[in-house]
Amino acid sequence: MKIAISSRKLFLLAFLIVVITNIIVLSGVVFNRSAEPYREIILMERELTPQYRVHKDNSGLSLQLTWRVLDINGHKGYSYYSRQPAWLNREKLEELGFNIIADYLNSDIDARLYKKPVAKEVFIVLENNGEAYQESLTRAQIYLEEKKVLLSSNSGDKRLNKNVKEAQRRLERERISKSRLFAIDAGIDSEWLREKYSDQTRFIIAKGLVEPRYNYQKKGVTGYIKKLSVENIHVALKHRQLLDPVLLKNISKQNVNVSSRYKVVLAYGSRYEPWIVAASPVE
Amino acid sequence: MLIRSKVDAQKRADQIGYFQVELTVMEQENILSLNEDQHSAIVSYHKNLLGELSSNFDIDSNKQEKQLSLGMKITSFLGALGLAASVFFLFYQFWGKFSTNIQLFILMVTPLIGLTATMYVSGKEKTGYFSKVFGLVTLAAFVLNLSMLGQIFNITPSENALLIWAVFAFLLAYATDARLLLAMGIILMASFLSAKTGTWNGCYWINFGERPENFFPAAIVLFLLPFLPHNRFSGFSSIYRVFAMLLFFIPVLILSNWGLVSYMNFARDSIEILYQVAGFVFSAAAIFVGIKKGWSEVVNTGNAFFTIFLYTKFYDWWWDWMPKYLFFLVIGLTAMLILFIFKRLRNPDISKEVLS
Repeated sequence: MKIAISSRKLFLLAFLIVVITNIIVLSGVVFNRSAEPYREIILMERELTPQYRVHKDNSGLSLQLTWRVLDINGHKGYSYYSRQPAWLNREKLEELGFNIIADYLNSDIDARLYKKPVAKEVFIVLENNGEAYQESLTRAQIYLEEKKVLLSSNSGDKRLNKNVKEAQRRLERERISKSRLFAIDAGIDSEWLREKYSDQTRFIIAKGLVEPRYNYQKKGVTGYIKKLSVENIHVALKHRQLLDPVLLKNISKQNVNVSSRYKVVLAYGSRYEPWIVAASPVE
Repeated sequence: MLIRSKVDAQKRADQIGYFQVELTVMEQENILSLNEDQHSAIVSYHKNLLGELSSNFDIDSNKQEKQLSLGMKITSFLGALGLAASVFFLFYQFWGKFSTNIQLFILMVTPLIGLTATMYVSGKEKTGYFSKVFGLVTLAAFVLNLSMLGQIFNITPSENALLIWAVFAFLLAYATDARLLLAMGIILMASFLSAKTGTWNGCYWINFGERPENFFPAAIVLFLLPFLPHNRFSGFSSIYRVFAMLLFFIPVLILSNWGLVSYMNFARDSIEILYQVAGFVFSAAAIFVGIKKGWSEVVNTGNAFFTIFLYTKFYDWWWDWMPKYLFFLVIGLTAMLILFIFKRLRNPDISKEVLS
């Protein structure tokens, strides 16, 4: 077998690869943004946060889609980084295509406890300022009430007093600065999810990674949302001209509850890829 | 002797050098005596041949040139890495100040300019040092091109980008006869094949490293590739075989010590034993095949992994209960035994007997 392609032909093929690949990628972008259906949603800074540390060697700007879940542990399981929603149980994981019994619950006790799971890409439904957010607010209120009841029986206890103040701050953050975007469902049939969550002003359907994890407290397998496939949304120059002056305003103190300084209209296209349609400061 | 690559040309030049030295020794010891005409015919023949090889393949005709070439290779490698990183950081430094259309224009045009420069330089320069540098910078520009399009348009990451970059790197490697670019192509192609194997088995593509068995198909493909003729290219076959063996033996080594990351649903110990046996059998087989085929890189890699598998087992068996002086004595004695076996195998009569 003789393979003798001249260098010139190889370079020509390389030229073609660059050109054709760029055409394919850009066609995909056009298709995502032009083909119906796509949905638009208005998000505030609390849901689309700028990167805290912008590297001096990178002049680009992206906003991170900040989403939360209603934690599996109820109102006591409060964690900013919680990624284990109550609804992502074993049945849901099997519905998403995970073979829990074969892969994670076999007779080998070591495997059950330690076998590292593999993640799958599925469609995740995110709800903005809806029932999940109201539930989160209620949880924060219940938590505060519980701490107040404990303090009332031991009014001089400094630790309980500190707990009440912390619970008040938690409620305040819930109301003012924490993201109202919650992951509320997942599936592998995007069309079915589109129909079920048809309110375009409230729901986003995005691709994300889910994996099973062994929950030592619950003694069973539960689901964990690792990340959304696209979490950082690029800000084009035309939108930066509006956002940069707002972002330059310094927040005087870290961890202080501040309301959102800008709002963004975010669109999701036919390939479930997002882009910023408009951005404006909040007066 | 058919000379098709720089490696062939260098071998011939070295052969001439050895012949000249040996001829001088034989003449000094009065074993051979050439008359003036014969002597000048040989000198003239070699002079013409070396001149021809030098002009066609830019070979090193003496020791000093060889040392200088090595220095140039290292410098061009460092230069290529530096320039490739510079292209990345240059774009990152300023891209936020450009509109989307200008960003797109820069991203698409940079690899095309790089390709033009690489093609021009490779046609003009025999040594290939500069074409390798330009080739790597062009590959970096193309990687930047696709990855930045992904960022600008928030495109869902895909393993297909690895395939495109791999094909591009292979084209540049074969066009410029550059081993560095071939290694890049192999790494990218191996990543793509492993990611694809992972997705076929239900993984998300970027997590392909979490199941080491994903690397096995890539290892097989890379091992088989040099069976296609590669005579025109310097050392390409060896690079394919070494990468193929690394992609096979490193996952086997991991699985032989940590069976829980396997796809198999057997008990952890069974999986580890299976891969320990596979490690010994395949590394020994690699040494055997390497000797038989004359592939020194296969022998060396097989030997290295056989020793690693052996020492890993020694550690498992004896580290906890054996006094440390005894443990290291066993290690030392084993190394001596392996040396003894290899010394025996180096003897042409014995190796012929073993392999027949």
